[in-house]
Amino acid sequence: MWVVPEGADPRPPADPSPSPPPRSARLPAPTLDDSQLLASIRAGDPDAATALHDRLRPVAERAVRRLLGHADRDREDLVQQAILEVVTTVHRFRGDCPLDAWASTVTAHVVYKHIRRRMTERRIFESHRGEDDAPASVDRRSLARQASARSTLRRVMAHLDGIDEAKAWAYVLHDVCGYDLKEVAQITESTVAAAQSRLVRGRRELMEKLAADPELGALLANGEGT
Amino acid sequence: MTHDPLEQVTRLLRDATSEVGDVEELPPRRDEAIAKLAVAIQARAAADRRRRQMGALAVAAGVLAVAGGGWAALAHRGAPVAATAPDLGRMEGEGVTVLRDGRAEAPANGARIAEGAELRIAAGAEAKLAFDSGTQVTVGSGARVRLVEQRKQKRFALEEGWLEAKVAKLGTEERFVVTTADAEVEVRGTAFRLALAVPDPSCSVATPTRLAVSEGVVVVRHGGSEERVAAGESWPRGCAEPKVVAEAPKVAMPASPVAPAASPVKSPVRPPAPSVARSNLSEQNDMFDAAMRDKREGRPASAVATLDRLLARWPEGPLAESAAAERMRMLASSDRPRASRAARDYLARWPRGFARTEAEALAGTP
Repeated sequence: MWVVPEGADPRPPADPSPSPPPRSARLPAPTLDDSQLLASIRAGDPDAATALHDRLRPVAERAVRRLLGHADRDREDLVQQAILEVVTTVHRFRGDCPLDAWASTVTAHVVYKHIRRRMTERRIFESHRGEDDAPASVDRRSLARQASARSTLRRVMAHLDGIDEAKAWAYVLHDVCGYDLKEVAQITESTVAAAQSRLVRGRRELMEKLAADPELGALLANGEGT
Repeated sequence: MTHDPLEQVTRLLRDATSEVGDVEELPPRRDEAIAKLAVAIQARAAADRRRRQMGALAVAAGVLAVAGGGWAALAHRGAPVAATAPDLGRMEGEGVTVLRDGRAEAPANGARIAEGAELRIAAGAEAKLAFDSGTQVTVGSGARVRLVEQRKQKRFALEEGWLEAKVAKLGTEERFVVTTADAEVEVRGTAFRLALAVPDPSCSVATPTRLAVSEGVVVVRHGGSEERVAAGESWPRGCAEPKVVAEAPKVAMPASPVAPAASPVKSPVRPPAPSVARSNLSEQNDMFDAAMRDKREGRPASAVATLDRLLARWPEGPLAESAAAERMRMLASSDRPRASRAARDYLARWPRGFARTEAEALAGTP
């Protein structure tokens, strides 16, 4: 039975298929543009906090999720910490890159420091390594492919764990996450030259490990996991 | 399609990590985050103002007045805020009572525990304090611990029972100190277990304090001397394994080497400490606590006077060195000649003390 609100078209919708799940509450659009926002922060206006949060939250959330995964227990704290870090370091932002890029670099730096401080789970991509729950609608063949992809991924991450931590970070930040060398240097508290050297060596070491793993090579050649 | 395995692997990782889901969802803790941001924005502006004032002062006074002294630290961006900002641990556990300002309350799990509070853990219970730095302190069954200072310098007073700590690597201005009735334990990035036990004649030192180190190195100060205790060692040396007596509890200590902090030995015991020493320690802690409160609230003269009283009453007490160092630091910003004398006194008494670098700098300053 259809319940029709007063004044509404009494006809049922054309497509009675199940409607998509309701979207959860969204972050409101920021009320200030970036230059106003930065000026307010620099002036010490606490009223800018809401606009700043809503503007940078998705950027920080995205960067944290890329490096740690969705399910990490510290994710929420790290996102908050990253936005706070943007406030405390705003004097270093010269406007020579978009605010998003700056906030993403600051967030990655917060995550980098956090992972290095942790007593356990000191690895990058920690929660990307776990078993994901497959959606109910996925058919058996897709499930098999996903399982195979996860297995390949875990194997790759094991190789990543086997190389020097600083070099692995340089490779992941630059090649996987897309930060440029200057940003990698900022995130890892090193110089651009050191970041570049670590990147080159990290790639080489990972390549050597991949070459020494013919099983993974076969999986990759067959397109498993890609 | 490429067959370069590195490129394939990079693409695989990129694909796996780029699925970040909905990042624009309204977070459940939005209000909390905004409140913190508002505070940070104001604090940053205040720090900026102070920096500008300090900059003007530094220009006026010239380089000579401040060379090498504490002014450099004050002029450093953000240092005043960071040095005084509390760094409070989150409490997880059941059977915990927090006493503060004469009130007792049971904190919710995840609540931050304020500086100056005293934790009392019920028999059979256990609580964990987790700090943002990664440091974790597990407080055992029946323990009483006072959180004397919870800033860059963390100071705990163990008055009864045991605690275990896994301390994340500390920065240059950070310290992590636990005092007992007769000893002070200071660590720099390590894991250890500290307990109060019945004095044992087989120990190399007559003390109720028991320390077992599982990682890194810990410094113990006791009776005017200092000893390093490395991983796998315990202090005092030669103590017999304490017995756990169910009905008349004596002491809770793990088998050696000590259990890691993440899985502390559980024991329903409450090791008693000598009552005289305990009451002394409480009084010393109260006095030290009062001095630190005065310092934070901008009453350095009162803070120095309180530390003077503490040092006069307990010159050999476990807090003596810390009190002398704090006194020296406070004088440095108000009375340089007295600070210089305090520094020389400090160096004479603790030539290898933790604050010797500062003391050496101050001792040479007229």
